[in-house]
Amino acid sequence: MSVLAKREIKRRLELEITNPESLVITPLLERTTTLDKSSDDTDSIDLRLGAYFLLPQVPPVPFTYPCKNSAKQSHIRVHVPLGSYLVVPAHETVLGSTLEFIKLPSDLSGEILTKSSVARTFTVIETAPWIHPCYRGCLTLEIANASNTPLILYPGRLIAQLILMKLLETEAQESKLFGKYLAPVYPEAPIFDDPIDDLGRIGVPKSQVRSPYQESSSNN
Amino acid sequence: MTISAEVVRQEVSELHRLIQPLVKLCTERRPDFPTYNDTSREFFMHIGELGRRSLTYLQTLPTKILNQKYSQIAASNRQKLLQLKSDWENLHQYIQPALDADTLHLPTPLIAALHERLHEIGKWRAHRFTLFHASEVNYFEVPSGIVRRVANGIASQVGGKPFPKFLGLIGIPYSQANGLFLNCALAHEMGHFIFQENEAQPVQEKVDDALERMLTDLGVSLDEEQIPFCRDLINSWVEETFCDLFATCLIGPAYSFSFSQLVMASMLIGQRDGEPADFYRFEWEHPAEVARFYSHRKMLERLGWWAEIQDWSSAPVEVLRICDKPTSSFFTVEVGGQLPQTILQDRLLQCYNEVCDWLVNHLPSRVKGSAKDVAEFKMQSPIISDYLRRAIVPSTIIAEGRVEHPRPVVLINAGFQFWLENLPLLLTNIKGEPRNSIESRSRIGARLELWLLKALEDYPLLTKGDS
Repeated sequence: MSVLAKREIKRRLELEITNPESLVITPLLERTTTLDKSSDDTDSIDLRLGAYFLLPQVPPVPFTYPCKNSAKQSHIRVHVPLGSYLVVPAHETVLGSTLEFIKLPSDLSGEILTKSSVARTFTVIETAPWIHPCYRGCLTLEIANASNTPLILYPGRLIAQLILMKLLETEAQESKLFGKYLAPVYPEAPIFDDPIDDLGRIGVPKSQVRSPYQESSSNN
Repeated sequence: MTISAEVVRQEVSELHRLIQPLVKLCTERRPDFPTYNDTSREFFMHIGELGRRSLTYLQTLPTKILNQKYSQIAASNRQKLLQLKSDWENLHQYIQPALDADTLHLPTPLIAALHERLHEIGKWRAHRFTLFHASEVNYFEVPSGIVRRVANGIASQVGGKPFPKFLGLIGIPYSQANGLFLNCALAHEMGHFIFQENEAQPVQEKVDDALERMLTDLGVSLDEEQIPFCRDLINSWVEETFCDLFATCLIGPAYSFSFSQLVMASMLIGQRDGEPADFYRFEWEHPAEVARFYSHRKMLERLGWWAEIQDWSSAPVEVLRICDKPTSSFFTVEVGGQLPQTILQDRLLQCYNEVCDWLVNHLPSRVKGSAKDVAEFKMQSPIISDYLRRAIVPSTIIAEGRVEHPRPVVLINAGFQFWLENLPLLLTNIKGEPRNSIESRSRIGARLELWLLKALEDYPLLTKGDS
């Protein structure tokens, strides 16, 4: 695997979409500066924070239970227009997304990293940083304020770096779309199957799968 | 008869009690969440200020009434409470629905794009709209004079500012707030405001001329009630058509497609001529749908859009193909009142058609910019389709080696074309997505609308900043 330099990123961004090697990053603001080959970051593209967030809600039970219904109950959607800001309290988390919509060709993988200056405020933006080939969508950011003070986030500001890597021995080709989150443009709540189904697929009998709800009610 | 001080204080405090929660709703919102468009904030600020002034006015009113030497003046001041109450009851119906319509519960990028398009036309640069959630599945503009009259009635009584100039109110079905395609019908509602504020007079003159010609031709005279009846009826139909054609000039065929969707006009396809009868019926509030689609088609031909869409194999275009004549022997007029005996229905419709023909020629000079839309649509639509079938937001496209950012009208119409003609291509392109499943079509159609709304949202960033 080799990391793509700006020159190659720019070349791919300018390919027609029917070309399997084409790369999309939109809106790519301050395009000229961003794609300037002589800039300091010759191997990455800076990404901005989007304007939509999912704020975790305090669940009605004393735990988060990843199951089919969790998407319906776990978050409040918030819009923070450009110019406004969101406060993330100390040690709290929020789901955001990049302003940019990304489409990777089948011969590229990506990794999203916290911009170094942002990282120095003890902000973590990503816990699932790997971006698979053929991915498309705004990148969901699992933002955590790991510091002891509330953090102000301005949508539209630079927050992340995208690094692109060429897969070895792979030719770019068009492939079918897939994935649970098809080309998301806002942060989306997690989608899970019920544990009983996940574990059933590897042979765990239904009768052995304990439900926290039953235990929670029996403890009460 | 003297009124006890207690009665006066009680009735004034009851009105105070009615208004106070409305003031709180408008003025004590969190500054950060939910967020509102500028026009909604302007509406809340105005109503909140009117409310505050009303409360101050009510605070001193009992003293004014009770200390008044002349009983008639005291009675008159007391009577004003009724008007104030009635005016606030009138405003009451819009406040919570407008509060419900925050930026997450409206097609905000579409609304911004429609405003931008409208503001390209110099004379309407100051016109703007506050949206509110409507409980019915319909779009409507609150006639501009009504809200202004009510708000200004309160202002004149309690000492407030006049209602903001050129601010209109539009209702949008609350369930459709996150979509794109159906909401293109908003352009029609903007047309009502433009008509009422600026354009009614020349149109009404044309109606009067046509009516006069008809009466001269028929050699009949109408009495004092019949003339306004006929004029109001044709004016009502013509205003609807004006708004349709205004919307078509503003956003192209997308408006006609959204209207087609709203009234389920695809029911006209595969039917015998004249069926379903509902689509051939002129009612007081609107002309027959078939007549409206005919006008859409004429305007699309006039603007050059028709040449781009006439070969589409989709239902709304087929509807436009079916509605290819201005008249039909199946047209009926049901207007809840008697048409004068001497006026033949056909002649009345002929009057209406004359004015519609004039509108088709007149409006493009008022709502300019279509030629550029058509030319860019022709070039960019196939490329946008290539992006959408790959589930990619088309805010930046590569066309003949150049980086381009399609303008909103192009995005909306190309998106509509993709939805109407090519959605199966996208479904086929997604692993495990059944092409014929209604649920899949609906879900992926909603995704498509999100991608287009995102592209609309990106457009101003890409074209106004240093991009």
